[in-house]
Amino acid sequence: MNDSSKNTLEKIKESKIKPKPRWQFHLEQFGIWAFATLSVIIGAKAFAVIIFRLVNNDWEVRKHLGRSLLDHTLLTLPYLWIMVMALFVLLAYYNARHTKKGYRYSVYGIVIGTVLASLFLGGALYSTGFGYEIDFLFSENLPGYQNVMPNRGEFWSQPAAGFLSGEVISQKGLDLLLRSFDGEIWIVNISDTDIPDFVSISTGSLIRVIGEMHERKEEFMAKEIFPWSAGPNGLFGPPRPPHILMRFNPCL
Amino acid sequence: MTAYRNCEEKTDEELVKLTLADQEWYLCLMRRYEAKLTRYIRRISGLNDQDLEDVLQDIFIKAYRNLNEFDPDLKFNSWIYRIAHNEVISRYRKLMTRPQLVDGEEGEKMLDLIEDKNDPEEKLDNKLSREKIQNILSQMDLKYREVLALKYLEEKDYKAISDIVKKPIGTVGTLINRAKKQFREIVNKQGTKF
Repeated sequence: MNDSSKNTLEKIKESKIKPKPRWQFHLEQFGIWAFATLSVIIGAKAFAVIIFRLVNNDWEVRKHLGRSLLDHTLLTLPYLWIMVMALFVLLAYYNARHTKKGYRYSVYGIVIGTVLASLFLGGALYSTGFGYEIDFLFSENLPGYQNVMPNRGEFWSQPAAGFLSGEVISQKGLDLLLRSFDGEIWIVNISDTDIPDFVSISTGSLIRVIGEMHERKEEFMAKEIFPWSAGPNGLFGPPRPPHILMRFNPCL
Repeated sequence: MTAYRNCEEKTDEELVKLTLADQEWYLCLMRRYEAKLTRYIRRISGLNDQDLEDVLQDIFIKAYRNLNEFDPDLKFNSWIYRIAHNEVISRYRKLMTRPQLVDGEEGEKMLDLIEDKNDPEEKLDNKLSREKIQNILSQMDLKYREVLALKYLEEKDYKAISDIVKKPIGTVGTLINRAKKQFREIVNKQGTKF
C-alpha cells in the first residue's frame, strides 16, 4: 500500500530538510512593519510640506493677479508632495496588508488608518516647523525642485510687476532698507501702507511687499506688506532667505 | 519509529511542538491531514491522482519547512489549509480544468446549502445530478469555486475561510454571496431545471 505520509517523511529525512529558524520569520515581520512605519513617516513628512505650502500659497496676491480661487488653487497646489504622500500611503497600505494579521482588516480600514496616521503625524510635524525645513532643504539642494513647485522666490522678485521680497536691513522713518533675494538693495516706502499687527518689521525679518516701483531706480512704494512665510517656521530659528536666487546672482 | 504513538490524544498544536523537537512526530500530523487535504485539493483543482500526490507532498514539505512560522493564534487546521490553498493557486492554476467535485451525495448536500431557503421563488426543488454540478462548478471562477468548497464541503466557518484565503471576513461573506449568485446564474443560463 502506498503510504504517502511515510514517503514524505522519508523525503524530508533524505533531503535533510529542516524547519527554518523562528528568527527568520520574526525578521521578515519586523522588516514589513519597519517599512510600513517608515512609509507612514515619509507620507507624514510630505503632508507637513503640503500644509506648509498651502499656508504659504500667496493667497493675498490672488486678487492682484485676477485669478479665481479655483484657478489659484489649481495653479499652486503642491502636486509633487501630494503624489509623494499618495505613493507612501499606498506603500504603507501594502506593507500593513502583508503583516501577519494584516489580511484580517478591510482595505478601507487599512487605507483610512494609514491616511489618518500620516495626517496626524504630518500635522504634528508641520506644527514643529518640519514642513518649512523640508521644503527649504529641497529648494536649496534638489536640482529641478524649483521647476516642479511654484517658485515663490522668483515670483516675488518682480518689482516692475509690483511684487518685491527680501530681508529688512534697517528702517529709517517710513523707509525700509531691503535686500531683495536676488541681492539688490531697495528703499521701500511704507507711508501709504497699513501694516498688520502680525507683520514684524525689524532688522533681519523677511517680508513680501506688494506695491509700485518708483520712477527713481530701486525705490518701491509699498501698498501691502506680509511676512515672507506664515505658520511655524523652521526648527532652527526664523525663516531664512532662499539662497538659490542669490547663488545665481553673479554680483554677490 | 515509536515516536508517534498516542497521536490521537494530542492536539495539532502539541504535535507541532513535538515535531519541532523530533521530526518523527510529523507523521502524525501528515496522517491526520492527508485525506482532508487530498479531498480539498481535488475539489478545487481537479488534478489527477498522481499530480495530487505530488502537490500534497510539496504542501507537507513546505509546511514542515515553515513550521516555526505557525502562530498558535491561528488554528493549525487553517494554517495548513492556507498552505494548500497557496500551493494549488500558485503552481497549478494553469492546470485547473474540471474539478472532480464530489460524489453524488456531496453534490446534493452542497446544492441544498447553496439554495436560498428564504426565497421560495428561487428554491431549488430538484436535485442536480453530479455531472451537472460538476459542469456548473467548472464554469465558475476559481475564487468562487474555492470559497464554496471551503464553506459547504469543508464546512469551514467565515473566520477559518478568512484565515485560509487571507481575506477579511467581510470579503469572504461577499465572495460567498457572489459565488452563490454566479452558481444560480450559470444554472439559469443553462436552463437547468431544479
